[in-house]
Amino acid sequence: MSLEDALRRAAMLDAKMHREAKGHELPLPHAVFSQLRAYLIRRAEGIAAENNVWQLLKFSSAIGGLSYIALGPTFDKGLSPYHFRFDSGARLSFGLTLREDDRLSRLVSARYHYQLPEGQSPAFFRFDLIDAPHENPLLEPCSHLHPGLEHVRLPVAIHDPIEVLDRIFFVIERNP
Amino acid sequence: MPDIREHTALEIGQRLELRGQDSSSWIIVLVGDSSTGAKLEHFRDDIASVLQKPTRIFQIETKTFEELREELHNPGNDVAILVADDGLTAELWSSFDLMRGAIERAGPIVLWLSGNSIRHMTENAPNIRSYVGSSFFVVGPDGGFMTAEERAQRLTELIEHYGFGNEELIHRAQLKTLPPDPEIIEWLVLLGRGDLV
Amino acid sequence: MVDSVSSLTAGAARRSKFRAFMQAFNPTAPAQVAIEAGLICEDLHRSLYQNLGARADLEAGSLQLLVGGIGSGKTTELLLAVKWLREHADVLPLYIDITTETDLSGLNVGSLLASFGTHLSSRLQKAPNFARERKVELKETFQKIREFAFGRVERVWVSYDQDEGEPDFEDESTEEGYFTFQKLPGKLKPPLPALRRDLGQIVEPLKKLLEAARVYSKDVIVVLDGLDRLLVPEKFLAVAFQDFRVFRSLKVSVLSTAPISILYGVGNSVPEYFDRVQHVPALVAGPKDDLLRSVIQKRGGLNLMGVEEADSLCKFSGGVLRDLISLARDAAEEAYISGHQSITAEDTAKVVQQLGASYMRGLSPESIKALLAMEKSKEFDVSKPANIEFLVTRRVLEYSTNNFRPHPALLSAILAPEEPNA
Repeated sequence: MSLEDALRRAAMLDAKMHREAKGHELPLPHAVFSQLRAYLIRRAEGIAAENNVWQLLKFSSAIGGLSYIALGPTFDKGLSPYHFRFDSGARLSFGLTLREDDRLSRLVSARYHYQLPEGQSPAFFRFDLIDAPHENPLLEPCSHLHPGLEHVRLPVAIHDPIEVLDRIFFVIERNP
Repeated sequence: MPDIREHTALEIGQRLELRGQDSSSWIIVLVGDSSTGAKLEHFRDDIASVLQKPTRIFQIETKTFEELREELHNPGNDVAILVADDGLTAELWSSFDLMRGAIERAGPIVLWLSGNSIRHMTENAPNIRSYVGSSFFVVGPDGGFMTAEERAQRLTELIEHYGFGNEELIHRAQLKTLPPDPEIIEWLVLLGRGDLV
Repeated sequence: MVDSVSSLTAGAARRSKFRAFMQAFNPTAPAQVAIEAGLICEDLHRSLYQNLGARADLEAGSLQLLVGGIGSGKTTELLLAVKWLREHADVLPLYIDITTETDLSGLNVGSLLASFGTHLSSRLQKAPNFARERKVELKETFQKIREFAFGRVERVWVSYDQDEGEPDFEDESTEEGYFTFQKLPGKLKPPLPALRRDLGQIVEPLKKLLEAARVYSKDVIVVLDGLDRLLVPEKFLAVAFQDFRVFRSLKVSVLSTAPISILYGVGNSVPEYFDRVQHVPALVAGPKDDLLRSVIQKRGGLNLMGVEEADSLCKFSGGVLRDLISLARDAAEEAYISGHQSITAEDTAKVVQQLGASYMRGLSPESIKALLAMEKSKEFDVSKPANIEFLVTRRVLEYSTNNFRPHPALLSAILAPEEPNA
């Protein structure tokens, strides 16, 4: 019933989510990149706003078997030419890092920032996946959603990147 | 003679998609001498993503007639990329041409060829050339890979946001005092220090 | 918002229109599919298929060849003949694409008979009105044909004097030798030396099957596709003809494709051995000749292009049916990718250029000179091997026995001005 109990439960949940994240398998990084690109191109076809996905979505391999997929700026500080834009006036940016492991990859970290048009509440939704356990998993669970507040992080299940985009395109964007 | 058109893998995939599911299409993708396995695998990833179909790779030279026929028909509706090295002789091209009927399938066939292979093919496999028609493509760059400039821009953004530079980041990563933010991990990857993650 | 919705709807409608076109103009769709979809103009070659079918029906044991360049429509004519025979004649036509049955590069004497035997066996065994007792009586015959086609495992004695290695299977041994099992390959599983005396093994079983078939369903006609892929006539004569003679002796009519090279050069004695050799030429595309345009019209092509674009495609196809369908498909693809609502002159020009380039690939400067000279002089010496190669690779098209021209798309590519370097 106390804060200590809450912290203990949060730690157990966080440990479970970390295990899930480490066990969550994805195809090789370039295959994930291809899937995301094909997905966004298909979504862009159904949107009147201009989005050149081929220029927006970027892929980078690094040493140590880590790859990086990014769309838009790292921090959302206002509309830019690099965002994915929606007809509602909302915009999307995201970044994923993946570690290659034999013929698969695993998500190391992820952030998906959906910024609603000015004047709307909440102002944004952001899904984050962090790599290492935070010292306070009650405040910062491994996989969490910011419901428009920077310091509020609600735990969410581990998702495939496409599954997160499904929620953004078909749930949040469709239900303003 | 006009050069073969350059297209991105996605554009090629979109053309195959337009032709329809089970179109039995045959196309040729020309690769340069410096082609690597990674280029083929990336192409395979892109085609599979656009067409939403499993995509398999076969080395023609290593298969017998029966093996190729059996594998191409099980299943027969995915995408098959047939790789023919420069070493495929005129006789082998002739044999391959003779078996065109046996390997016809619902799913598209992509012949992955070098410049020399194309010459051998046109001379010794006229039935296959007839099926390909004018569907010759070169896979060009698709703008997906992050350039050095784009990387530098992202690094600048990160330095400005966090208020310290790349060296300080690496130092703190070695001391394990960095917050577990996704942006921090991206920063390390951009610096080529995925080993510190 | 309304504009976005209507533009999305318009986009979907455009995609749907182009997709329907692509389905109708698919150069690699199986010919049977195109026939069943009603996309074929049956009178393109003056109902040739009816003549072929009628002769096969009326003259049991006749041998007829269908000869034409790649993409000329031979398979379609054969399938139309099969359809006609089923509808108009009291026969059992068996269509066999030999290229799907065996590796043609290993084709040997008896392969065609083996394939025919397996098809006939299968048809009889599945026939609903074929008496069960007869199937039981013919069980051994079916087995012999199967073994002839696919091989068998035989128990043989191997003397220690001749032994060359370890047996594959469990064996019984004595001091002098041992029994072992040996796999004997069949005619449809190469390699096997071509032994003419082999054919005796298949003739008797086939006679029994044909007797049974004739009681149940009258005469059998075999329609063989794929032999035109044997690009050199010598192989065709050496191998296929032996089997054809057996078909004739069994009174089974044969309709078969054959390589175009048998009409010319060293192969030109081949036609003497056949009752009929029917040439399927490239079709002429002229201002008064609507045949090629009818191919486009039949498939609904004018829904997406104007008459001028259609005529341009007809002209540069050279009358090669597959090239015409391929050009139309590619033009639609270009139009769609370019955002056009229909096929424009720019789209047709682009795909004609690409087709011409594909024919030009691999041509030496000497060959290009020879083609240009041919176009200028209108002369074509069919005795020259290099010219036969032009015919086989479709760089030169035959419109009749004395009318040959370079493929117009190829000519256009050769004559196109060089593009300036960037």
